[in-house]
Amino acid sequence: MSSPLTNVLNKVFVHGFYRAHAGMFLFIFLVLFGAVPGDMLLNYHKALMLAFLTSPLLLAVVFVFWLLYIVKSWHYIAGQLAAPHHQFLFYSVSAYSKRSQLLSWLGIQFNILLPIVIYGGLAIGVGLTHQCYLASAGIVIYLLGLSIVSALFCIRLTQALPEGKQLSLFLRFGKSMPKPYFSLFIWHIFNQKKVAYTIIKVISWGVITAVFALFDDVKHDARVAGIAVLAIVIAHVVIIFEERTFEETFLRFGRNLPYSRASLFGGFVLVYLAMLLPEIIWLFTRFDPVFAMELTLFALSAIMLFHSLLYRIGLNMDVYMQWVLGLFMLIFWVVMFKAMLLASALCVLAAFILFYNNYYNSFAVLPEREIIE
Amino acid sequence: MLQFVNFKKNYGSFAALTVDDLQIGQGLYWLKGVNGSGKSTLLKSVAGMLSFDGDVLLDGTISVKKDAVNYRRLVSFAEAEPLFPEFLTGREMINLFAKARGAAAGQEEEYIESMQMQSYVDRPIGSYSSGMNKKLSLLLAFLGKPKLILLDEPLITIDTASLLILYKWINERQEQDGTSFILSSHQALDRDILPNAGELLIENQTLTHIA
Repeated sequence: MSSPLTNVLNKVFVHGFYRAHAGMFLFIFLVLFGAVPGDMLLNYHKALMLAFLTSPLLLAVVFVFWLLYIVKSWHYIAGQLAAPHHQFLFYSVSAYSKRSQLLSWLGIQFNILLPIVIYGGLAIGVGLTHQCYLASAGIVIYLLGLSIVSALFCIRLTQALPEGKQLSLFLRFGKSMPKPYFSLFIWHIFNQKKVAYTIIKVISWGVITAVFALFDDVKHDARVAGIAVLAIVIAHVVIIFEERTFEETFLRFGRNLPYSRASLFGGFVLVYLAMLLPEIIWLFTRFDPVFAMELTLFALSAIMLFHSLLYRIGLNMDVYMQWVLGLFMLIFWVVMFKAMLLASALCVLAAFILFYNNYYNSFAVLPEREIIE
Repeated sequence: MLQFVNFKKNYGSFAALTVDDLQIGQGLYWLKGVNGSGKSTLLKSVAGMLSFDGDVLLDGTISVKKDAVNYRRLVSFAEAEPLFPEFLTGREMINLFAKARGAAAGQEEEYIESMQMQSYVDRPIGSYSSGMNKKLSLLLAFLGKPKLILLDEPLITIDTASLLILYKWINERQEQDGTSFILSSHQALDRDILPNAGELLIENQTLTHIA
């Protein structure tokens, strides 16, 4: 039986963490298991594990990735603790004894680290069968150490009282700038979602670098560039979900304002245009202007489809991910048949129809206790 | 002024509110009903913020569904527990609404002054108390020239002095512009302050005009 404390912390942090990062997990899953043909999968991963088990440098790189993962989880936990509906944790958790707090948080860390624990466990298995005892022991110690440090850090977080809200630097700079309705999400990113945005841009950069490293003929084969752009769009699905959540929470008033649906749709195109600016600059520096323009249109159409879809299916991450995966494969094949412009046209058309028909009917699934009052 | 045509709001399989055919004339209405009876559901639907089956018409012809933009220019709404982006200042929200609803320049100033919001209207909303937030949302509903203003639970969170100012705003707009109002509350109507108010009641999942 788990203690009531572990139970509450699990519900608040672990479930939420996996839900909020479903896109990241999907992406990592696609990269780790989708990139290799099925029959070579086992040998490929075994070779990968042996490579970092026998090279201290590679092992260090793996450790850095794991550290980034746990830092991301700290960021999530700190963010959740600051939410008004979690304020009760400050005066309930700290009432438990130090020992039970530590045990509960260790349990939470274990659950959050589970994907890494499983992967690390497999690596240790491989290591032990290939006499890499030192590296295997290193992984055990490192993961234990991470869990303990992380648990202590979380205890400190619940003991430090939240500070008053302070606007981010960008917002203080942009104080006198006009903030039209459509731009509010971009300000929201600058204010609260800088880390998430930076991570997505790093993933984008990784995709771009990998595509250029792996395919020599990327400049001549429209399909490779198209797939890279599609991967970049997929890396953005979580922030698209975030946009809809923000809209459904803080911009509910917008549905009572006299904005036409066409101009609202146009506003969202501008939001994503601004968000994709780094990638668009890259496209224009790497490809000729016409092709770069086509790729930009493709990116915007696909991103608008993933955005508009949410008005139809509601804010349900599980359902959303299934749609993202399905649409990814569908668009992937259209691009493979060298029909990127067709894919763009279909995406933007579907996006507009979904948006037009569902904007006023959309609903948030997030508050499960949707009551009538 | 307002007409319900086969209005039906379901939550899943639960028929939360059904109004087959009801017309409400111009004026001020006090919408009553116990907790959970569907007052907010009704107001949000009339405000165009919640989907429903059927239609709601303003002045006989302007449909919330078919004439979405025009309807929303003429019907404004203040939520019971408003939530606005915390990084915006009250002034920025006011500018946003004033522009969207085509308000005359400077219309907000007398409202800011009478509600004594000068000291905080330029601060970020994240620093507001729930009463300050509520006053801002009430002010936003008065911007422009709406024909119908819907106020959901305007009596909660604001202090008595502010409440009297709100009643003053309501009376002024009714007299000067002929604006109609629907105010929801589970409290009884005070006839001394709002002598001409009509009464609407939500009971047994439907809306009736009782006085």
